[in-house]
Amino acid sequence: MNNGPVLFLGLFASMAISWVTFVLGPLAQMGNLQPARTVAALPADYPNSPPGLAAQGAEVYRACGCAYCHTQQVRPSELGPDLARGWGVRRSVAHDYIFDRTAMPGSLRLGPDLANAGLRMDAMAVLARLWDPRLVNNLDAAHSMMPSYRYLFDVRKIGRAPSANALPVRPEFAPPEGSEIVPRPAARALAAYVAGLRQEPYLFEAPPPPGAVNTNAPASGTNAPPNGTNATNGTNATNGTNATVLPGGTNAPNPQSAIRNPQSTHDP
Amino acid sequence: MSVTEAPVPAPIAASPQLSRTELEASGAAPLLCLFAGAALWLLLASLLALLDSVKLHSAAFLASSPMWTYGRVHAAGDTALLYGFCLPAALGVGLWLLCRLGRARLAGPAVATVGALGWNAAVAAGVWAILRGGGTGYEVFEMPGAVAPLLLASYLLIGICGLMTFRHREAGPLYPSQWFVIGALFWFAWIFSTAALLLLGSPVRGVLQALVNWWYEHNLDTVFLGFAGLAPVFYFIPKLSRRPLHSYYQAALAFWMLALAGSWGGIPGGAPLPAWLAAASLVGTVLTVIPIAAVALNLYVTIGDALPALDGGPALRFTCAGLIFWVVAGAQQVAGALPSVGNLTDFTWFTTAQRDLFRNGFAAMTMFGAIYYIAPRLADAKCNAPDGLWKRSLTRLHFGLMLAGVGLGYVALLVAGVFQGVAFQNPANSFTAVMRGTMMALRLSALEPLFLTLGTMVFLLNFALLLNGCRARCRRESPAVAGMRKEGA
Amino acid sequence: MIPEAPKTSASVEPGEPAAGAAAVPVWLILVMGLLLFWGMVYFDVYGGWFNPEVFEPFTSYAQVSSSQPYDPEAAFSALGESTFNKSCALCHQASGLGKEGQFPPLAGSDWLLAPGPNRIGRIVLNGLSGPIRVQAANGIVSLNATMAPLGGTYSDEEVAAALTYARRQWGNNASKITPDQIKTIRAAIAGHRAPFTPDELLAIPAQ
Repeated sequence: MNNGPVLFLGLFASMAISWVTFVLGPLAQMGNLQPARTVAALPADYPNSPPGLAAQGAEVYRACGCAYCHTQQVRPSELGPDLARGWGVRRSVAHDYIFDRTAMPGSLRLGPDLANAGLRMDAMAVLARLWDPRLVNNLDAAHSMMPSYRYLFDVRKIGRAPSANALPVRPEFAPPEGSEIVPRPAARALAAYVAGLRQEPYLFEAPPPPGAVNTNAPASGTNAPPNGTNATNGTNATNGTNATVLPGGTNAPNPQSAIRNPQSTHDP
Repeated sequence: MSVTEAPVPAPIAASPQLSRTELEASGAAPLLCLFAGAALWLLLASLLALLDSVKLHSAAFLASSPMWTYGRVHAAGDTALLYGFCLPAALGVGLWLLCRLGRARLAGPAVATVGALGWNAAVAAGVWAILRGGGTGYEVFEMPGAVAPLLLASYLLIGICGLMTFRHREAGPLYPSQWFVIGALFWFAWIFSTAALLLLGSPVRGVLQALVNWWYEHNLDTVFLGFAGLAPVFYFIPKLSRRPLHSYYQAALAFWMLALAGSWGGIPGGAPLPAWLAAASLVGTVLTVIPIAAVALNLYVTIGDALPALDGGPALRFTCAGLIFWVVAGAQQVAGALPSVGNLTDFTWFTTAQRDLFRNGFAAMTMFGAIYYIAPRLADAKCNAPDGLWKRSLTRLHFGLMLAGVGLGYVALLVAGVFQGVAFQNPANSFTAVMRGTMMALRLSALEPLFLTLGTMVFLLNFALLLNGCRARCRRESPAVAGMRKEGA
Repeated sequence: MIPEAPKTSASVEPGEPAAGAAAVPVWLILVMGLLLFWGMVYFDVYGGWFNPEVFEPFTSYAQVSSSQPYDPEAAFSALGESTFNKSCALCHQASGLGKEGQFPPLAGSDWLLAPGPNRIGRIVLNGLSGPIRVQAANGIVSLNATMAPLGGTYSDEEVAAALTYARRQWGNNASKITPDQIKTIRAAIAGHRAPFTPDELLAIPAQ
């Protein structure tokens, strides 16, 4: 091994083996994944391209570095208690990410997994957490280590009428008299993105466990807005949580969100 | 384990002083530029890591500014550490080793200096962009696409100087360190170009981005930094203990197994990728036990029993500490990849502990060990006792701070990770409660970036004193030096 | 071959390191061999043989396939469609319009859409022969029917599925025909060898 060319050839071969196995091979196999048929009584195509605001929200997610604390990958029950914690109905598979401009499954959990955040939170709940996670009315959340993202909001004087998008806050934490908290477009986009994250439909590679309910039935007891029943195929969840509307949250079944109503005791 | 007729040359007792002077002098400008820049970047990296550590238990600290968001600071800190410190230091040390072991001048020092400056400019632009929100979202590859061409071009400039130096080497068998350096130069070029093309240039679809990202990160750490750090380890431990390396063949085995097995891995358990990729990753990671064992045994037999009595200076101390951390980090990586352990520890501080130990404990310390040896010889090539140019108290302080910081941080994060993983298994424990249980350990782990910051400041002070002292001495001695040159020429 | 150590004085720099020629210990080679073997076995068992649709915890494509939820309705429809296309469509056409003068249409056919399977079940099982008058979607069609018996080729389930498929295609919307009904008919006509004639069938109640 005293020969430059021999050394180079050996290195080339070693690298080539790794590159073919981990880069070229998977690229050939999965480089062109298309939406697949869901395994359900009424099959549909999954996934669907996220709506515009959610796609913008993904960019905010990336720019804020949310992936350094939150993962977006659910493990099967044989590998971890992710499903037992209510973080999804099935494991994440490759098909779940094909419309992600930047796939960010993450590698460290300092906060809960967000792959199915849309099943647990609506846009208003996300905004509440962004404003101040410790103000979410939940004894547990008081000790959250998530930073506040107040720079995504404006605290401004109420104009002729309160803003339709103002964040409702409990009186003891309200901004000064005559002011309101209004999320900036970046915050609303991020909320739309997170509230639209769902990976429920069963697929061929992730079939329902034996004895599961009809896979097309809308999940009950979630914070999903009424329109969300269309979204069991993971498509238009944002349709209902759509932050473009975000009025006093008429689309959300929980209009005053977790900040004011002590509703969400669910492990976020 | 009998020692047979060696196919390797007898050692040169000491190169003629003059030709070594020429060797050192040829590389002084680019290498000192790389080393100085690296140390400054490490200071910034540890400050950013310290800021992040503080934010973990004081979430309101600097929370009103988007630039200092935890995620951005984390990305910037990682970038500064790897691309600002580890890579330039590795390149500098590697080039010096090629000069020394090939007994050749550094080829094209001006080109290498341009490369060094270009590299630092690219990293600066990248880190600034990350703090402003332009990060790519890929771990360890956060610098936006715009800087990638400059980065790669600068790297190629430096790498080509290295290859030319290698080509002009004296005839004779190669020493293991030379394989490691060439291997490192080659490896980074390939993995970086692949990642740049498939993540930035023409992004692949969906979870394949994460796959390329994980592959890149694993290869950058385990193979590139492994090669780059083991090169000075294989050089300094035999040299400074004045004993030959125990086994050439074991070194070769370690080298090839690290290249083959170390490049397979990086995919966390349960990742949204087909089972075959997870299995391949696991098999590769487990196989890295072989190079770890081969290197550890080889160097232990080389130096083992003589270690307590030795005084190889800071170079030997840092290098040995780095080697030990490499073995521990490698063993932990193997353990963490096994499903029975990984299912508990994936996505916890356990993995972070391993990565930090590897980067701060192994990569940083071996780089410092080499720099402590190389820098005075570059700064004052004619000096007879170059090791004495460092201020001894400062080197000891630096070593102590790094050792304490790395050790404390590792233990703290390891404990936090194991606790987090175990507590997480019970769905009745809310996630916030699980994280709350790690708070004490996290507070302790903040000492690591703190000590690293202080240690780097101490080093920079020492370095400044070194350069200053050399400059002063050179000016004083110039007539004498001119006389000596005439004599020896 | 230990080289001659140079002066140990700290001021003389030690020489460049040399590499000794000790062999690799045998046990290390053995361990490497064992690990390589383990690696191959592990990949064989857990690797799903490079199939991109096999995700942990599944270990093979067959395992994933067999874990798919079984929907009897969907399976029955699929069976009906495939049986029809294999056999009935050859004459009655995939469009269900048949061929003028040769094969009667099925779309809107009053014979097909009768409330029960008594007549059409007999036709399929034993065949049909003789002049037939069909009121179909595109008008009344009269022709001399010649249909081969299929009872010996297809099972009760397949016959029932194909009939159900035809009864729900091309705008038809009639009740499902169960395999049990076909079984009863098959028993009832056990002795009857020859194809039925339309007149014979019209004598039997449509229920």
